[in-house]
Amino acid sequence: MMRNIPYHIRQKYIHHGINVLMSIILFFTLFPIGWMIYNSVMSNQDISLGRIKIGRAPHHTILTEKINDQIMLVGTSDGAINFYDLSQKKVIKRKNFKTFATAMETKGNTVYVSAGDKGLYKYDINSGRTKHTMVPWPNYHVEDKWFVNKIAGTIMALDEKEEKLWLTVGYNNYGTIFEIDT
Amino acid sequence: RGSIIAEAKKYKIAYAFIAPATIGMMLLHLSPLVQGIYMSFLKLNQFTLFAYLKAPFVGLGNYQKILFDPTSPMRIGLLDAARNTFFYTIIVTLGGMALGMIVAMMLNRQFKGRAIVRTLFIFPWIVPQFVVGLLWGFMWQQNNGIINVILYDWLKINHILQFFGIAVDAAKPFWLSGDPKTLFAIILPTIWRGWPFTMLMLLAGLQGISQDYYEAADIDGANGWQKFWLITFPLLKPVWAILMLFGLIFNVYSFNIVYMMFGSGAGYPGKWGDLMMVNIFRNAFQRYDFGTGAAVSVMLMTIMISIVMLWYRSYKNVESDRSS
Repeated sequence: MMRNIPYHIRQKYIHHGINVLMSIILFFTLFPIGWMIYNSVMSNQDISLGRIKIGRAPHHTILTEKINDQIMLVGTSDGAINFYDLSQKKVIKRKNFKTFATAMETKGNTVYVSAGDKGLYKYDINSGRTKHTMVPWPNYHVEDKWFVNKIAGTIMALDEKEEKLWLTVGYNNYGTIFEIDT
Repeated sequence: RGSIIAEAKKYKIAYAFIAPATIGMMLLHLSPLVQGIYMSFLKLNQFTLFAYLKAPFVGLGNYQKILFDPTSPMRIGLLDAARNTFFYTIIVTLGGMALGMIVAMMLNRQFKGRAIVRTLFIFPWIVPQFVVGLLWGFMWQQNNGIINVILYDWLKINHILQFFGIAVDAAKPFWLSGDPKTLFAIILPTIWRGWPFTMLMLLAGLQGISQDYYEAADIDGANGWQKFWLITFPLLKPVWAILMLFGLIFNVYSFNIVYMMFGSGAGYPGKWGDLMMVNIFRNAFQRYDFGTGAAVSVMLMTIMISIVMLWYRSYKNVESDRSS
């Protein structure tokens, strides 16, 4: 049958066939190297657990609060608010503020996230709306440089009766306490 | 003999010039060899290591232990290692050459992106051997290794094989457990790492073959196989011969990949995972039996010298065929 096909067309088909075969061999040749490079951006834990997808870097949990029978809020030190489904046992939604030296508090449907580098976030878990307040940390605008590595943490306290939020940052010391209306 | 002396006298200045380099090279190559052979006659272990070359002389005792003493710890597993090394060497050498030939012929065409594809194919060869061992060691893991994940979790290969009537265990196989699968698991990474070199050599050889031969064969109505078997294959014989020698030597003395794949030599690779060099290393440097380790090394070296001599004899035939 192949003999009936004109020579140049036959050659073209053969070339295409060889290209396909070559691509398959190339894929199998490069796969281990690709896998090695992919693994190089994964954490040790993910590799040893045999995870295929790159997971989030592990962060300390700083807030856990059940908002109903189904969902639990889990706040982590990177400023992420995770909506953990208790029945499915997995995170179904995440809002990440990518903060540093984070503290979290909740009041009703609102989550307050304070951060040494970004100030204060007010997050409504129902609507998903966010309000950002830049806090005038002590010496922040006075010193030439604000050394992020000197920030020990932020501490936050809520006064639900007075509807006040008290906030301070550990920069050399916890010198100034800010009072913010919730 | 007279002519040799006469020639030496005639070119004495030339011989004087090359003498320092020759003596240096001989010392460099021969002194470790002679020392290794001498060590094979000594009872050199952790108790006598302080005496080093003055350790008790046991003559052929180490060789006798290896060859005839079934209770000798050095002998246990040695035959397995020898069998594995034999199959490993043959399969890796021939497999690498076959794959290298196929890809070299594919690359010896005109197509878009040829330079990039040629470069990409060489990538495995630039990965260091110990990295290859570590990488494939992870890839062969039973539950979390990517090979089992692809075969069993994604492709469901056990279901596919069962569909074709092949009974397969539903559990993922443990490739590095020391059963016959392990030999395959160490052969594949070695072929993967080594074949680009073979391909490169064959590609260079292919580019040296004149297209006139193929055009003449086309006119004579030869098909693809005939062109390969009657033109390409014979004209590449010198390259085949060199690759065969390189492959045999490299693969018989293969060590890094297996050593790294089984936890940096921490464990015994099993009945089907052990190779001669890994076995010698384990016995000599982890069991501190340097004398017997040296004896096995000398035996292996003797076998390899015989193989190289046989190879050289056949290579001379290849050369004479080529010149005639």
